[in-house]
Amino acid sequence: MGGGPKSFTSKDVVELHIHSGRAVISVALSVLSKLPTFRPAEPGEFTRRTYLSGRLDSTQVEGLKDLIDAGTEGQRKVAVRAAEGVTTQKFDQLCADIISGLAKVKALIDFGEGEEIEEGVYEDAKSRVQKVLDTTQGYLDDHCRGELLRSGIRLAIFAPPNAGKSSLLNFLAQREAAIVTPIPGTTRDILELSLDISGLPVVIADTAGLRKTEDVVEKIVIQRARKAVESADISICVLSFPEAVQQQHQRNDLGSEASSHWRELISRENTFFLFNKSDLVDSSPMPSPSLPSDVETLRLSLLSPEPQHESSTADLDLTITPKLDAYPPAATTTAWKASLATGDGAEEFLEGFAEVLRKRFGMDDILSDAANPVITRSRHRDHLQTNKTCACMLVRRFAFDPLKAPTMWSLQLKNCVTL
Amino acid sequence: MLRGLKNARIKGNLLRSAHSLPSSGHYDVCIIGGGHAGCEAAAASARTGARTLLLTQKLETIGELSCNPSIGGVGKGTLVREIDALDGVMGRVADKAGIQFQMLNRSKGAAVWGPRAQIDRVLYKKNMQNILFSYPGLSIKAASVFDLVIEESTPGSGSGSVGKVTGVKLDSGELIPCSQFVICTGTFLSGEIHMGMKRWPAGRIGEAPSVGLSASLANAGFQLGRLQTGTPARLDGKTINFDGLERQDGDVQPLPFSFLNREVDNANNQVACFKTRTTLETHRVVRDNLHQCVHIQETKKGPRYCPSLEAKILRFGHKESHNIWLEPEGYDSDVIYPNGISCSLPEELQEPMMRTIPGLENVKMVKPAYGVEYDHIDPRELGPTLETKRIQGLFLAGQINGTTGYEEAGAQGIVAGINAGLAALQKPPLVLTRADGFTGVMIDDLIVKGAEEPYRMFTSRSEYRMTIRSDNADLRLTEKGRKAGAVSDERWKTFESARSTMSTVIELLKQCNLSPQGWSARGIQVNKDGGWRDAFHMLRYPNVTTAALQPFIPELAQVDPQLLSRVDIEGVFL
Repeated sequence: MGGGPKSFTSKDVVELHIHSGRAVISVALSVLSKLPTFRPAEPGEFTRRTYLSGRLDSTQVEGLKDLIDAGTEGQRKVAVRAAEGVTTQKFDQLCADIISGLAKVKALIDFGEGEEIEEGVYEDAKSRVQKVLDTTQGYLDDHCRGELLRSGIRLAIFAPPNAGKSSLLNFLAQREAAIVTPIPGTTRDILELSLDISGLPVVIADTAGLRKTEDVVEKIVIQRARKAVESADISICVLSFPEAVQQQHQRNDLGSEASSHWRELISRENTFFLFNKSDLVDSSPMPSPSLPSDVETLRLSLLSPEPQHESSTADLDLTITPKLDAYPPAATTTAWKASLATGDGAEEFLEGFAEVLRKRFGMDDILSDAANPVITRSRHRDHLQTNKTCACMLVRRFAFDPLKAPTMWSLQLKNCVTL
Repeated sequence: MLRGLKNARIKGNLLRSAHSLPSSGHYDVCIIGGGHAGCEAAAASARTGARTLLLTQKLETIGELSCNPSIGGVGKGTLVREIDALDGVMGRVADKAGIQFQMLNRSKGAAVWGPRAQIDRVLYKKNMQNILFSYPGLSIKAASVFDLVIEESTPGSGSGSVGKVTGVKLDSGELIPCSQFVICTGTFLSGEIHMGMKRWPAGRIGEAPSVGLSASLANAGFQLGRLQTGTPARLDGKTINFDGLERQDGDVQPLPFSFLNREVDNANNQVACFKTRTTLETHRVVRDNLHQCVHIQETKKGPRYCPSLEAKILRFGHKESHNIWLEPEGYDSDVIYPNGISCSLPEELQEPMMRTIPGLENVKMVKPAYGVEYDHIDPRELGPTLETKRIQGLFLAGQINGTTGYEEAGAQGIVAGINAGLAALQKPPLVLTRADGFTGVMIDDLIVKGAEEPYRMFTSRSEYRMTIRSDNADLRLTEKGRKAGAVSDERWKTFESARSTMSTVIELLKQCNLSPQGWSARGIQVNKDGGWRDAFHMLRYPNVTTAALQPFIPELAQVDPQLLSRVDIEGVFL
């Protein structure tokens, strides 16, 4: 029996431990329901009581829900930390900084002249606001790690026809999730599959082989596939190794018509390469020994020239970018060679890719506070975004000096960090 | 001796005997205390048309500035302007008696401007007394109030109060019947002065406290708290060496407090203030003698924003020095007021302590510093008109409610006075809300939250700081005061004229509507976003003022420049 304040809901609680036989449970519940003031709890009612009693705040309740829903280890870890109140602490710190800055600005207004104020109060307030801005920006710049972790990383696989893309899918799912036939154009629909890759939730969309086609239905399918790739967070391009080597060697720059479709979808930062059918290389008649068989060289040759980068998020960039921004692949492998048919190199690929995912989504060191995503829901992002806008304006006003304006903004800042 | 509710029968007898005493006429409202709250209350009540009597211990102390010879500041200055907007007296007297004027926070934007003036004590008193002694509808009498006469309410009368005041009894035995009373006794309610280890009853040094009144209030059921404050010594300016001390002069063109004045009397004759600081030696002397200061040892709350020197040293021990402003007390006086070192050291130690301060090496003290402790009422006993909930017809205003400062007292006084007058004439009350001004903020804070420590006004107390500014006090309050009957014809005329000129100017500006190119052609750069902007909107831009707009809106040249600057401010905030 949980006494007063120490129970989950901070009210008195009785727990009955009974055998789980159906009849036993049924009679227990029926007896309870006959008691005058008893009723079954509504969904989430215990947690709601806990929230209302102030024992948990909203980020902790959200963390609890995420914990219950967690499908992968990564999700569980993040959820546990939120439920423990780590997120609360971070927001509380932001709040405290804002209030401190606010207090200093108010003191300057009311007592700055004629009374005694210590040196450096103004600078202190300014630097605190800057710190709030930087911290908020840091949280916002997390590449949506937290939200992605909850909703799953969207992975799209694209390839020219018959490069082995469905084989890859099957390999990843370790079951026959997609039909694999040699006739190009088989995968008409886009399959979606949820996987757990090394603790991270990944949602994979398979796509039709991208090639120019006169078949009308196929055209539509290809368009949808293109959309899937564009809305994905990360993509894998599967290519046939022997064909790639041959075309590289022949220097036709892989510029055949068939290649144009999938080449458009390659992104410098987001596309990873799997050169499949490595088992077929040795048997084909290649002229010279100095073949460029290095996958990295191949990959580089496939990349179009550096695309125009979006201007880095300046002070007033208020748009929320749901996809990954330019993120330099930090010396991780971005291309692999394998044969999905024989299994050769497949494990290395999977491990390598899992590591990419971990690094990319900061799950490398899930226990370290720095890696832990603060934002797990768009609600958090919205609040922090407004917060950041105010802080930006505030920083600019500080340069300007009319002290009354910062007070107004500071007040808004404070209101923004509502949890 | 009469005491509160128990003596209805005896009271009846007294009343009969009172009628046989020479009485100076029948009054509607009686104000007790001639300090800042009392003066405003007396004048305000008289303006409403109620027959008003002001009772004060000594006539010559009317308009006395007990402590700092200055009026105004950040927040406080706005209160003075609000008092003036309701046709009060403080602003007008300050304009006549001010010897140095400064607008604080000038660079920080008009929302937080704080008009402030150093005051000549003698001139202030003289002008205040001149105004009040000839105020229509107001009589003044020197007397000490001993007791309140309270008639118990009949149960079920539905008034919600416990009783009703019907008169005051003076020390002399005389009874003055009245229907409304405003008590403005400041620090005199069971006041006690502390100097070193000595303590003796007094409201101000040399003046007797009001003891009987304290007891009557307690008997009527009011909870009394005790607060502290203090004042520094007064110094002989001839013994001070001002060389090498930082000098501060007044504004070249001072802005008057009163909306009725275009300028202040002594604009071209302002005095300078000087700044010095305490030293480690000063702090040592104080620390070594704290055991001899009964004032600081007690746990009563002192004013947080105006701490005594002992409090500063104790609270900010790491600071090596504290600023002191040396302020002249008047034109015909050599007395200097050292702002920042109020203390309650034993008298014999005060001069040696001060001689450790640069510039004061040979200083002679003219009056010693002291601490004072006094009773106050929990202001949550009051309604928004400052009438007590407990006793009908009894109003409280000023330091007795737990505030500190002349301006805070005056603002309460004018509200209480107006409402006492209106109540006597059975007219509806005047209630000021938080949105009406800092007066409203203060009253709301007091009656809702109480005063655990002496309440002082500053702009952060209001959430509407940007709209309740010192420049627009008249626009906010004068009409309200007029409707309540508390604003005289002269002021109303001036106000209406100013208000209508300002709106004409604003209309004029709004009619000048130009595209961004139009504005660039006139030398004002605007974002080329195709949006048309009128001249009033343009006032928001930095460096755009009505003066800058005159070349293309020539009618502006005919308008009073003071009103034009007000329009400039409105343009920024509207």
